[in-house]
Amino acid sequence: MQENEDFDLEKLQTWMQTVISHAGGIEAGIASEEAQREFKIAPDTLEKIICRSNNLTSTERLGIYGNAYFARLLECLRESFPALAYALGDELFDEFSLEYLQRYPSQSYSLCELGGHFAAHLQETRPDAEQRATGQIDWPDFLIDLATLEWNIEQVFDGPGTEGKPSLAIAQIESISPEQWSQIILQPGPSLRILEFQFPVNDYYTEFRQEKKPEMPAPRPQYIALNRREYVVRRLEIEPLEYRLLERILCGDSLGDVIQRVAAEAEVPLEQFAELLQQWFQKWTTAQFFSSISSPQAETPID
Amino acid sequence: MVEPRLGHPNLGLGVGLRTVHFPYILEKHPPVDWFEIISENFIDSQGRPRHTLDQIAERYPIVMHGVSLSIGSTDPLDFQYLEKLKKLASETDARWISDHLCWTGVAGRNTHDLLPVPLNEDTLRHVCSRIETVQDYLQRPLILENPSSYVTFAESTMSEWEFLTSMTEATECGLLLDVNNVYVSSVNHDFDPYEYLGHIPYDRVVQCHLAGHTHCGTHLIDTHDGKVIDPVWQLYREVHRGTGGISTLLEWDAQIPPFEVVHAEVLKAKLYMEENLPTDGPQTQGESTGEAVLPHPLHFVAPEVQ
Repeated sequence: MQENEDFDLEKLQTWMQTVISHAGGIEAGIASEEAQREFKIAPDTLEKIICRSNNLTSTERLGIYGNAYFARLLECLRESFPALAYALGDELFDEFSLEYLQRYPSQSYSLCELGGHFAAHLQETRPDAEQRATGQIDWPDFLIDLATLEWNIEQVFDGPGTEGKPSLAIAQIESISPEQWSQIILQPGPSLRILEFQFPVNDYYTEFRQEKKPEMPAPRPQYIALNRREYVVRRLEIEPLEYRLLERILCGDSLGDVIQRVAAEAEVPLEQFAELLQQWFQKWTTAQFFSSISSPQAETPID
Repeated sequence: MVEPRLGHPNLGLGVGLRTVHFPYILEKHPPVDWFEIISENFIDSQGRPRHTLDQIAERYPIVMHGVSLSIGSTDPLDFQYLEKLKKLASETDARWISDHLCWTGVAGRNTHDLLPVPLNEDTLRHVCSRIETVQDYLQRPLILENPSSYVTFAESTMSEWEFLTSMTEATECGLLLDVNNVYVSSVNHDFDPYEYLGHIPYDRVVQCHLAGHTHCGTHLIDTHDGKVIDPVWQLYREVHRGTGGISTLLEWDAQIPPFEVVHAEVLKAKLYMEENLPTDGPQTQGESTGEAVLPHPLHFVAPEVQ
C-alpha cells in the first residue's frame, strides 16, 4: 500500500466539516477563509481531495453532505420547537434556526441537546437589544417565552422523574406539628420546574396543540409549573404569589422562611394568605410537586 | 480460526425499535425475534423512552446501535459517552454494541452525519488504535458497520472491503454488514457489490442491516424510508449464503409505517434464505419526490405533554 507522508487526517476532517457546514453552500465553503487555511483549492480543483464518480462531479458529491447538514438539524429543531415554528412560519423559523446553528453548532453526541441555547440565542440577537429598556417591540419576548416553554417541556419529558416512587400526600403535611412547621423543608420532585413569562405562552401552546391556529397574544404575565406524572409532562398555571413561594421552596428555604418572606412582599392580609396557602398545598400535593418533607434538625425525612 | 459471528448467536429477524411503535409493542407483544435500539435515544433518558425500553428488554433480546461514537475522528474519544453506553448495555443485557466506520465531527463539533474516512494505511492505524481503546473500555468487541457514503477521497489507497478486513484482523472487532449500504455505495462509487461481498470476512460478521433508500437519478441516498428493493434482497441472499445465517435487522426511520408493515418487511428475509423469490413481486427503487432527501441518522424523541 502507498503511504503519503503529507496526509493529515485532522486537516482533512477540519476542512470537510468547514465546507459541508458552511451556510453559503459548498462552493462558498471551499472558498471560505477557514477552509482555505486547511487546503488552498478552488471548486474546479476539488478532485485533488474528493474524487468524482461516473455521474457526479466532486462538488456535487460533497454537496450531498452539505445539503443534508442544515436540513437534518433544521428538522430536529422543528420537532423540538413546533409551536415556535408555527408562530414564526417556516421561512422565518428556518432563517432564525440557520443563524442559531452557525452560532451554536452541536457539540453533543445527542440531538436532544441541539435546542439548548435557542431561547438564549433569540435573546442575544433580538433586533431591539439596544432599545430594550424602552420596550420598543414586544414580539421578541413572545418568541423567547415560547422557546423557553418548549425547551423546558422537552427537558421535563426525558429528565429525572418520580414514577414508581411515592409523592408527598396532604395528610403528611397536615400531620406536621405547629412546632415543626417553620423548620421543615419541602423536597420538590426532580421534574418540577417553574417558569415566569411575559406572554401567556402556555395558553398559546395549548391552542396550537389543539390546532386552533392561535394568533400572537397580547402581553400578560403568566406563571407555569411543569412536572411529570406517569411519564407525561403536565402544565399547570399558577398564581404570581404561588410562583414566589415555589421559587423560594426550590431554593431549599425552610417553610418558615418562605412564608415569612413572601407574605411580607405580598401585601395580602395574613388571614387571607393562610387560606391561600391551604388551597395551594392541596393543589401542589394533588399535582405531585413534592416528594417528601425534611427537617434540618432531624436531618431525615419526616414520615 | 474465528468462531462464526465472533461467537454471538444468530438472533433471527429483528426490527429497529422506534418510538412510534412503543404502544403497539407494549400492548401486542409481537413475535419479533429481537430489537435494535439507537443508543443515543436511551443513554440519557430518564423518562418514557427508557421506561419502555426496560419493559421491552424483559421480553426481547436487545442490541445497541450508536451513531455518535465517531471512531474515525481525530478528536479525542468521549469517555463519558462510552461510560453511558457501557452502563446501558449492562442494564438492558444488550447482546452487542455497534456503531459505524465513520467520523461525525471534529474540533468538538458534531455534524450528526456519518462521514466517511479516507481508506488508507494512516486512517487504518488511527481507527484500529481507537477501536482497541473502546474495546478495552467496554470490555467487549465493538461491532462496526460499513456506512453508506457519497464521496470517495483522492487519498484513499484501498477498497472498503480491504479496509474492513484489515481492521477486523488487527483489532478482532466484529462487522455489522449493512447490505443496503453496500448497494447504495456501489452505485454511488461505481463498484460491483458482489465483488465487495466476495471479499468480506464473513466469520467476522455479527449482524446485517436491511433498509430502503431513495434514488435521486444520479446517485442513491440511504433514507431508511421504504421497503427493501429487489437488488438488495439478492445481495442479502449472498450474505446469507456466506455467513450461513446471521442476525438480520430492518431499519425504517422516515415515513415509518405501522409496526406490522415493518415486521412483515423483515420477515421477507426468510424467502432469501431458501432460494425463493418474494411473493409480492420485486420491489422497485423509491424515487425522490423532490422533497428534502436526508441520509439518516436522525434520532429525536418527541415529548408527550398535556
